Amino acid sequence: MGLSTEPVAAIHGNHLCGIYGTDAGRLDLAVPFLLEGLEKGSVCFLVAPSTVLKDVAEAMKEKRQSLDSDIKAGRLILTEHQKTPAAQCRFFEIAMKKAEDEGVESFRVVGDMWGLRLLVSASEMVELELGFESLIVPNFPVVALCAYDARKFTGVELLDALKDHADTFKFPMRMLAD
Amino acid sequence: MSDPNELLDIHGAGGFLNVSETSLRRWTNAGTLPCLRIGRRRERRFRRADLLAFMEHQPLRPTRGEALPAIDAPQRLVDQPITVTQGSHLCAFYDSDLGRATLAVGFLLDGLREGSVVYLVASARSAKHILKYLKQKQPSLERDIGAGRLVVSDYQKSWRAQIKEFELRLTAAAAAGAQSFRVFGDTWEMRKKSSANSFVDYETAYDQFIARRFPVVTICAYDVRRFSGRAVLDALKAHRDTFRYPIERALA
Repeated sequence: MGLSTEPVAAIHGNHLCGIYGTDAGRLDLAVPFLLEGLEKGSVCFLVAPSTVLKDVAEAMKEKRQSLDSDIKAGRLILTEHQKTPAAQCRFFEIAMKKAEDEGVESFRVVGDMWGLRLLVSASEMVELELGFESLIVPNFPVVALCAYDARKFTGVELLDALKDHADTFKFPMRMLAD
Repeated sequence: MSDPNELLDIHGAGGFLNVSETSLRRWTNAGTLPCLRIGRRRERRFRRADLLAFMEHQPLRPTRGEALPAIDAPQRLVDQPITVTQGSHLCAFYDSDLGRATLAVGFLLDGLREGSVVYLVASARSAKHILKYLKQKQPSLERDIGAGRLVVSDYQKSWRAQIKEFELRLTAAAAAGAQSFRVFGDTWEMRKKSSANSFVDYETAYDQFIARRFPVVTICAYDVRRFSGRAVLDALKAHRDTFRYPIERALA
């Protein structure tokens, strides 16, 4: 399936979860979401294991030739997960505050959640989602997409994810991928 | 007697309420359950008295002599009717028996109140559990069953037989004057009787031959304790009407 580049009609404050079942599906979710953010002048974060960072960046480069300069200029920040939910939220707070001080007006975040799940328990994952929802979403102009790999997460964990991302039901069809 | 001011850690509190640590984290962050934070890692501690007060405010309390139902979320058996387009074929997810009852009761009650003929398709044990809560909201339940306004049945042995059963029942009820229908199916019962591929065939056939042909609103309820993450994704893709339904009526 080719990557969709249709814009996502998301607004600041949306905290969405996406669910995918293949590596290609992960690209389908992450790439257009981040590309659209860059087009709009947002600073974009991709938080994922190193192999995923590489795959997503390569797919983005096919659509956006200036990607290397976006990375160099800090418009696209590629990073692995912090070791704890609290440290992850703190990372976003510091990075977004600094960017705002430099004049940035909006942010996008894609988090590939399996990378974090490898580091923490299922209930600590919820801690991150709730921390993000209470500390980041209300305080910064951000649209966030937490991407869940249906091959790895259990049914119970996906139900928890859907419960913690009520905004998802406003944009459903772009949030499910092969 | 236990000291009401005794402090329990999150593991102890979860055991005390018979809920997951995840639920406790969610409720404390939402402010619905008080807790204290201690130490550099700000770990949660719960007063026994606060846990008891929280438990007493749950909407589904057991009657005398019964075991406390497993409460895994501060849920409500919602009374407000929801307007749903006929032909909608929805999926819903639950992770506890009480969650299943929460999804079923609101949906079936709406159907009975709007004058639809409603069908509950589930194992005998699950149906009994759901009907216990439905009766609290609909005292005339036995009359509804006697008059054929509420039809309770188990799944047929194969998905083809189940589709045929729906066709026969809905056709007969329509011929007898029924204007609209609701179906609540506890899908694990059908999944147990079929392979993963056959189960997908069942959902596809239901959509084609029942949901689109009759004035029916359907919820296929998925027990996420049984279905995998992949199955949850497949269910969401196969029930796109779900996203027009209020989220609190689809996740429990």
